[in-house]
Amino acid sequence: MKSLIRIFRFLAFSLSSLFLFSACEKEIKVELPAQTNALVVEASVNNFLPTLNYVFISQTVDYFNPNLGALGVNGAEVYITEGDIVGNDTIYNIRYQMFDKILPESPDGIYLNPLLFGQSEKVYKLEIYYQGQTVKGITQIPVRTNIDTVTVRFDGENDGKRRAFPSLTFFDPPEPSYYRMAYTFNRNPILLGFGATDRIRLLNDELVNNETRTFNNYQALSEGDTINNYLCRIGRKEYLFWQSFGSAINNGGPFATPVQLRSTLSGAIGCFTGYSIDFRQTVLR
Amino acid sequence: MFRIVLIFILSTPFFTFLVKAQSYYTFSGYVRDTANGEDLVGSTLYVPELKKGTATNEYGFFSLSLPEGNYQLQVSYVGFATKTIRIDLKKSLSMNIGLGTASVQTEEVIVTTDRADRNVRSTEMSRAELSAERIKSLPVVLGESDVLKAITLLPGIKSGGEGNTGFYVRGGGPDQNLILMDEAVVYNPSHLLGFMSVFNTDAIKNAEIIKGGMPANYGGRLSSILNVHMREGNNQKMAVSGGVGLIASRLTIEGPIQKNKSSFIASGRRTYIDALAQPFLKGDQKGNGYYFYDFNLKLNYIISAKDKIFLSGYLGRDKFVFRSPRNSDIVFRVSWGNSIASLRWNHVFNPKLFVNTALVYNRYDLNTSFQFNTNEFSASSGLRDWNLKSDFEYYPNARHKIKFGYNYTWHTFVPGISSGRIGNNNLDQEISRQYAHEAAFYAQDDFALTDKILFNLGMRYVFFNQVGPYTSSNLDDDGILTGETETWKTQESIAFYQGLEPRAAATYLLTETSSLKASYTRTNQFLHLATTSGASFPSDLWMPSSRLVKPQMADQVALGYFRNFKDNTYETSAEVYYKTMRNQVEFRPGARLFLNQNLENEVITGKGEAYGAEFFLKKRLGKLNGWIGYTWSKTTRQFDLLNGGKTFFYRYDRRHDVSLVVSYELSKRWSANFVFVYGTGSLITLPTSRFVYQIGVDNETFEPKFNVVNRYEGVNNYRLPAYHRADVSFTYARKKNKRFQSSWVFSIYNLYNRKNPYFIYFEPDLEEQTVKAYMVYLFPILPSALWNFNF
Repeated sequence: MKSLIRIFRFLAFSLSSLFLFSACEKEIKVELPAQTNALVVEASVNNFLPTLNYVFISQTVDYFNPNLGALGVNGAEVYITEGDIVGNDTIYNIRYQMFDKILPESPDGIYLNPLLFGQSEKVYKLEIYYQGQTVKGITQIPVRTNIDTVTVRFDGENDGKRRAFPSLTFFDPPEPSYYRMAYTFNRNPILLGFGATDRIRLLNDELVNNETRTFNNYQALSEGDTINNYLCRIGRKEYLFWQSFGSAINNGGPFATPVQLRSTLSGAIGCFTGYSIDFRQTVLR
Repeated sequence: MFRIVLIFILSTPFFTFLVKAQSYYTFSGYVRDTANGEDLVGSTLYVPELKKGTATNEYGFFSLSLPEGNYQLQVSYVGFATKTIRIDLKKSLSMNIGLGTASVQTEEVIVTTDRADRNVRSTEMSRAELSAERIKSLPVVLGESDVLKAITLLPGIKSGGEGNTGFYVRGGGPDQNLILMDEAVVYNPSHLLGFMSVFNTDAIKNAEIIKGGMPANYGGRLSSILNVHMREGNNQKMAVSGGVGLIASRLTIEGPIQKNKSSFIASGRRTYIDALAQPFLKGDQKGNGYYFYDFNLKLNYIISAKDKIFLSGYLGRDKFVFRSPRNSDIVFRVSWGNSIASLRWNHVFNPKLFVNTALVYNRYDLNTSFQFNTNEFSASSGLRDWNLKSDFEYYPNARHKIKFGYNYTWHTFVPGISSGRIGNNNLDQEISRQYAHEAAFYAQDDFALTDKILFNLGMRYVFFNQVGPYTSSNLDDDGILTGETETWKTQESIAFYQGLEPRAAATYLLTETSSLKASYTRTNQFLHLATTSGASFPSDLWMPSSRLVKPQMADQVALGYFRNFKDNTYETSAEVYYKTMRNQVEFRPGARLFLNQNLENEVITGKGEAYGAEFFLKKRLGKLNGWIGYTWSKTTRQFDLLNGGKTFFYRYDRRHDVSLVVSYELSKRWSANFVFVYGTGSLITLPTSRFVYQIGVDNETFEPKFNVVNRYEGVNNYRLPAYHRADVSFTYARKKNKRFQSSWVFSIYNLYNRKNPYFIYFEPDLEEQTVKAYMVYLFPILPSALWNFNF
């Protein structure tokens, strides 16, 4: 009887684990519906680094097309116009043309103008003209939120150096505020696009507002390392776009659900983001 | 439509008066199973001389008014020997009738063929009933029989696929089905991530599903009513039954508290996957596991010939603990379950008037906690209901059956409470609870206009009132929080909705064995289910209709032809239906549904349409019995803010759906069951293209860096491969040993090892520089064994 129970138990476990813990899969051929080509635009204007004032223009590609490296679109007419809010109106002043291939090493589709410097509380209008297509968007650089402190906690050792865990503190103002918080480690602080950061996080103050906020870095650095903190305040619609972007890129694998980017542009997929940046470089000692 | 309803309702007293001009007496009582005293729901009583009859209600009560005289009355119930009794009706008579199975019949019982032409002769259409025995006999995954799996074998009712107890009726969503357990609403019917339902088949008496032509006593959901009646317990002798399966065991104890007067039944189940897995887990993994348990208890007491009370309770919990194998500081816990208590009272005022009154408390909770290093986060949400209802049944004469009553519910929605710590910031937040009154008053008359024309006309008045206390945060036109709030005091009205729901059904008897039927139903739904994604863990959140979220509404018409053959041995039907749905609720893509004070702002509304044809052929009797059902259907949705405003097919739009169920008695001890199902594949939304975003250039190497984003252009733009499989089971009933009897059920699920899609996903193949598609399927061919016993 005991052996029967043992067999039954083994059989039960095997069968239940067969379907509960190890579902089967097979590769299949999927015929996806045909796509309609669309322009994709990532545009940025800020109050800190001219290299972060850029427009990247690319195109969508068929889902199974492996060639993602050469999607940049050169030859478009691209303008960013600065404006001031006067009463209920926006008065636009200086128009900057953005140019591709300013840096010979930069990939296709990146448009820059070294003369463009963004300012807090100014409004910026984006215009793109490419093969009969027009893309337009508007953003504003918000008021800056300052970094209060960057502190470091040491805990344990790694390769003979103390492990360092930096923390950043800032006071979040009472009005609704939205941030992209970027870091680079041991790098030149001149950023060539937000994609060049080592880590970037998105946050709002819907749950914790009007108080000092502290963000810990749980990735262990080493004593003597340099951390560059970029606290970037952005607008609500830009926040919603980057939130949908975060959902879209963290959405692979079996339980992926369709995520539509909440574009802020007309005529293209993407967002024109105004960043109000406070920067702090700290050597971890 | 209103005019027609009014004319027929006004005409009712006229016909009643005409009939009363003769001397009529009423024969009333209960029909019960002689073996255990259980009430037999839907038993048929028929007087051949008058060609008149009735059926017992869902509490086993009947009332039949006939002219003075001496009659033979046939009393029948599926699976029981028909009993013929003689009544001498010189005055009103009350009597309880016992029915026995063929093996316990007594000599004075005249065994006749079962009269089962209710499907043809009643005004009911779009309705089906399954007995516990039929549900238990069907082959299912690992032998665990389940009522929600069984009903999806009926035409017009579609399964959500494997790992999903949700069902889809005539183009409606899973939240549009009202699931009742002894009259208590079940908000989440799933156990074990949707592989099993909360209904323990040992405790079930029968299940009834109504998918159209809804009687006026039901409402609150657009698509269907699944009414599961639980057993009352043997009031004749103590009995124990149970079963040992591969993943769960169950035990039921029942018996009389006072013979013929009162009885109890207690039934419990628990899975033991967690216990079986423990020897194979090491170190920190030891605490990991998943199990569920549920427990049903029911007591009933016959106070007098006129009064009977029932007290029932249900408690079920699913619990899951996961500790990361890579980092034991990461712990995820989730538990959810329903708790239900109900007190019911059946009272017979007089032989013509019966009332059932029920008081029900219902609670659904979902608790989640997540621990990651020094971060802790826990959250809970749920729903609490207090429900009071009375259903009166009045039988003025053999031609009329009038029902009227009320149903009141006090809802408390608990959208989310969280506490914990994120970084150095404490996080304690409670989203305001929401409160609502929901009530309905109804009246309906099921009557025979002539011997050939039958009607069921009803009207239901419903209202819903969301009340305070509640605080809402105001948003501006761009959806940005203004910082202003609006507050309502206790019981202060926030949103009020009301409406009339006409119900009508008509039957025209073409011949003794065939009829044409038509029905019209309007329904409103005031509760909406917010669900976050296709994730397997429950993330369901019920929300009320409010200022911004309007009630859902549906109108359905159905036409049907019903015909029985060979003395009701074969039952056939063909039905067509057309349904429109307004204020269908979806959530904005990427909406934050949990811990959102402004959840109603995430809702978008649209409309839906469904139509189809259902064909059904059933062989009721004989060694070989079963049914085949076929459904052709189309279901669409249209939302201004989805799919560019264009109409799209609903996810469970299924053009063809076939189910075949065959039972065959091989010998006295052996029986076999076979099931085959086929369904057009469900629709899913797949990306059509990709693009790169968040560009960056390494400032030392000048290497470009970017993320890849999928682009979705349409909703439900890809149809999965068709779903089909065959299952078989063999039951071996061992010879009865004094009182002890046992049986083995051997089953094979997915007989020909069909790889039915559970989901599809894509992965980039870096070596081949391409993207590959993978289909995940859950169940290969799966044999199982189950041992059942009773004594």
